[in-house]
Amino acid sequence: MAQNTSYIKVRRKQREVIAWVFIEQFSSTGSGGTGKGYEALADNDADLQMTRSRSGGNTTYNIQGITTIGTYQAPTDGDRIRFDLVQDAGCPGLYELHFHNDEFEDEGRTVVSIEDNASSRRFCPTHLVIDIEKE
Amino acid sequence: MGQNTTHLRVRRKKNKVIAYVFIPEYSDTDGRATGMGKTGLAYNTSTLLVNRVRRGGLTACTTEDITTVGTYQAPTVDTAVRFKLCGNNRQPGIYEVHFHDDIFEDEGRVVFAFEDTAGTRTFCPAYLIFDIDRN
Repeated sequence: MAQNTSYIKVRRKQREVIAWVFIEQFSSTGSGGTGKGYEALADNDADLQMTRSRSGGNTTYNIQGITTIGTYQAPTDGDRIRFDLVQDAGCPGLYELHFHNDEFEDEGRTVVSIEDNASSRRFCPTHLVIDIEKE
Repeated sequence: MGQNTTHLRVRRKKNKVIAYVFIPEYSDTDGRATGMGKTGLAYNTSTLLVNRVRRGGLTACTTEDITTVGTYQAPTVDTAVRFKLCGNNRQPGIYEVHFHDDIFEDEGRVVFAFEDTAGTRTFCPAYLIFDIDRN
């Protein structure tokens, strides 16, 4: 995969999974990523789209916020994910994700894609590849 | 994820962990990463900020020196890391980091963020993400 892809491993039936991704700012001149972090996203951003791909098909997530960074908060169902910026200063472009426990019921691979639907792109597409291994 | 992020797997209770992080150089001339590594940073560079993020939240870390690159030296507390450039000429942008043993006591995921707090940025944020597995 491209440069904005991260790989993590999770055990099957692991509970209360938290992960972090870096979202890179896109150059306004259209010449690719800048290397800087993109810091202005929130869970209710109108053009933020998060998609899950796995055996069985694609699902567009319903995105929910995180009340306290570092404290797991279950999404309200298996097609939702929680998302928030860790902190502006000190961790630019670093976002925290909370996954529903149902995501990890079976072994396999899941790809979570984070995409800007705005016509004037603000950040590079970002992918998190999760390998779910046996318990 | 790309040049900004390094993923590592470490066994729970592993001791004397040394890791290497690439810090990308940033150019304010064209507002993008240059593709080079940032050289010249030291543990006491005033604009270097290291943060640790994990379940439980975010902690600002202090930075301490490494006497000899390649020889583990325990940080004095678990909220400190030791940090040193490997070599300017042949490994531009590669820094050695020594971690306190207490970091790896429990399973989970820990992110270390290396950030430039200068108004005129000289390097891109860099992230070191540890997946701490069971023994």
